[in-house]
Amino acid sequence: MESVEYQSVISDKDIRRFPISITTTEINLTGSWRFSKPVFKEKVSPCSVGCPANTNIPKYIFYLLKNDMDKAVEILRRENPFPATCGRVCPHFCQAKCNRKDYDGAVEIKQIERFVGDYALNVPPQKAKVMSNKSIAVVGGGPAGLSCAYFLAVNGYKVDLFEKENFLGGLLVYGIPEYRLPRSVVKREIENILSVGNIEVHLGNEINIDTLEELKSNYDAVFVGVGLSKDREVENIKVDNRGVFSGYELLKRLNTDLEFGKRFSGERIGVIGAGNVAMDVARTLIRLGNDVEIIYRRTLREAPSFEDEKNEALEEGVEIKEKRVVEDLQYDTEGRLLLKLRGVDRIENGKAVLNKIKEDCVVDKLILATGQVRAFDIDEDDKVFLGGDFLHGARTVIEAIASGKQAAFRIMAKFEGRDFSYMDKDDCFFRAERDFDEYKVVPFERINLHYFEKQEPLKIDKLPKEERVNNFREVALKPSLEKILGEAKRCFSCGVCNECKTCWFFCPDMCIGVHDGVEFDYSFCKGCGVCSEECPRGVIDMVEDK
Amino acid sequence: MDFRDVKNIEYMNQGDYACPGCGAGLSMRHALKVLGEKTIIVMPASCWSIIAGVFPTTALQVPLMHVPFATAAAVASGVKNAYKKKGQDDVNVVCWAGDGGTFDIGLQALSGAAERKEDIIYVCYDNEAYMNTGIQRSSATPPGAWTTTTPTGNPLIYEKKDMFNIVASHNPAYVATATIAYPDDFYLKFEKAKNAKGFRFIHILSACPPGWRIDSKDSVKAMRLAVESGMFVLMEKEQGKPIRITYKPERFIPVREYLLLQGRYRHLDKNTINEIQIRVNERLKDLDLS
Repeated sequence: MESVEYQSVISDKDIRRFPISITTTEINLTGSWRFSKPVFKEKVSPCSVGCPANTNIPKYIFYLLKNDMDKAVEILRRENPFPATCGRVCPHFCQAKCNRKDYDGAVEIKQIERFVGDYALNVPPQKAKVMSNKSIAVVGGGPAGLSCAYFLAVNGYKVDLFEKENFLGGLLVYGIPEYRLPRSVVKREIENILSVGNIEVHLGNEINIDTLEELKSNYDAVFVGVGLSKDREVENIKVDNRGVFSGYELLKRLNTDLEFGKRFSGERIGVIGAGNVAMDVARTLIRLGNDVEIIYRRTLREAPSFEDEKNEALEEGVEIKEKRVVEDLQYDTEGRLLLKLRGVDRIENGKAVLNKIKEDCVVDKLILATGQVRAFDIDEDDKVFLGGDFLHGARTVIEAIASGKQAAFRIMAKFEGRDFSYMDKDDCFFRAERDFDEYKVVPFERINLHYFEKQEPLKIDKLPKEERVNNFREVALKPSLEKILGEAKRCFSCGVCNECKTCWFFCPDMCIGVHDGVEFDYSFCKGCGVCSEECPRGVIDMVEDK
Repeated sequence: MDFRDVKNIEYMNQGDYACPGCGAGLSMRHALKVLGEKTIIVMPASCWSIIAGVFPTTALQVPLMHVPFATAAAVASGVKNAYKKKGQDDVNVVCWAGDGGTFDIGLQALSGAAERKEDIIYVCYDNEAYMNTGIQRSSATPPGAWTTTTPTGNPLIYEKKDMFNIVASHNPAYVATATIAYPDDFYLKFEKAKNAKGFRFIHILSACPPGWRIDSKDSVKAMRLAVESGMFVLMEKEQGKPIRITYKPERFIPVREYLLLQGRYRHLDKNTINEIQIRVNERLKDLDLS
């Protein structure tokens, strides 16, 4: 504590005339009055529980606002090696849990992550500090495999990465179209991951159930995250690559081969299914100049694709036939497909119960996008670890990244001869680094709302639909730095100290120092608890002091 | 207010004798941050006489004079004039008195100094009773409140003295109400008082956990709720200008929420609370606030 020097300007003569106190009260150690004491306990924000990778969101927002971007990147990348990618395609489960949601709208974490992620593209991750002689085979170069390889590599393990295609990235490259996730971003993030070292990449190297046995004997552990690469079969419709195509395969070709896309132009195309693959195929085909109609057996509202994707698809002119199935199809003389559609009454045990509605429909091409399944089946054993869509079925990129990360830590725990355990079992909470003091999710009630004025969330500008239907430019525009910082300031920073100094300001006993967390001067702290009560984000707890 | 911008220098020593969670200690700490080291405090009998420490220690790094109860404003006038004679006109002479020393016992000296337009700052930290001597009622005690001398509650026929308007009617240089629960407002008002010339008066609401019968942790919260409920209005008046309300909540909360936080109001029945609410509403109406 800074203080002015006590100026002793009083003469002996004065003191004889009247009593003057000239020493400080600091001899009175008021800490002895205390019966409870404040302790600094960083907790867990609800957003980071919502995030499958359990990223410490308030912490990187804090460093962003502190203008320490490198540190923000470090915090973000500690849990997720794909920040720029997730800032674009992740549905941000975190925002659904944001404490600010019921106050004035959740913080637009997605845009903040994208901003920090874009900065991270030019910041290579730190290299491994220790080295281990164990080596691991990672099968599948998608988000799960790369994430697993990254976390093993930064912890000093040697990784051999096997990918069947001639490029890394998996679904990020061939599954997600350019207008949602530019290739350059994925490329740069993968380069950053590989720059850690310790990872040897083997492209064009497909692993099947037989070669897997070989890997098992050559490596200390094998991670399998090959995704779902086989189309789910549909009765009565067969992919013939003449008029009927597989959505997954088609998307792969369209996304990696521009010339191939020119074969689809000015046609009327039907798409069966309304998942994210179906939406991506439909929106890609619209951009190539086709009319697209989605045929779906449920209503669009029930469809598993992201809300943004549904809305943007409708804006771009994708038509939709809800509650319809294709009962029969035939080629006519001009090679077009004549579809006989039937109405769906309801879905029972996964099977459509038809009603009497009948409809005919003519399309040039039909695309099956009804989901994928595992190409082969294996189970985890003491050497084989699974992750990504291959483990948990079709889910989001961030879930694949999280399961790759957890697999890496499961493998490492195995090597060290201990059991892998979640930091919290009920929430399946796991962070690569334990950067909180106590696992306690900070509820809305713990936030001191007095310190937060209501403010509307950031509105994301999108490319107008006229400007996006004939090209592959990114739809979501990048907000300005000012807007990002404005949005970042809205963060309550639940349970994570952002050095706002509210506790310091309101401490009547001048016992609080704030640098890299909060320090208490227990020799003078009277234990009033004002700091704990006033802390806007519930970081200070009062505990009994004996 | 961004607390990171508040200067780190302190003019108060640790080890003061304030109770845990005391609003008066906190208010002094921040008042001195604004007033700076060229300040002398003149203090009549009050809690702060104790908080400042026993002989030969002092909790302040600026000079502090303990003076008889009724004489704070008179002594301060003399001190200021002595400084003026010595050519040290830049010293802030501050009376720091409790509600007893302002509303009751020191009122004549205060009125006299205000009338003579003495160049002093008079700060009344109002904790709404004689807390130091054992929670006896003062004329700042709100109707309904329990004290040891009003064990069934301060009778409703009494009203808390309107000190703001009493002082304002002397037409001083500056008069304001403030509370440390609203830091921006508090700092601004002390800044204004520091820079004005002439008689300046600031009435601070200051929570007293033992006297208000609240948990010490709720000290700042209680001061805040007093403002949010309209029981205490943050306003100021500069010479020659009309009264200005400096903070108006988006919506006033019911006084119930403020009253029931505190043990000294816990005995109140519904009708009494309604009566208090009606009085608050009338006051807010007079101030064009509702």
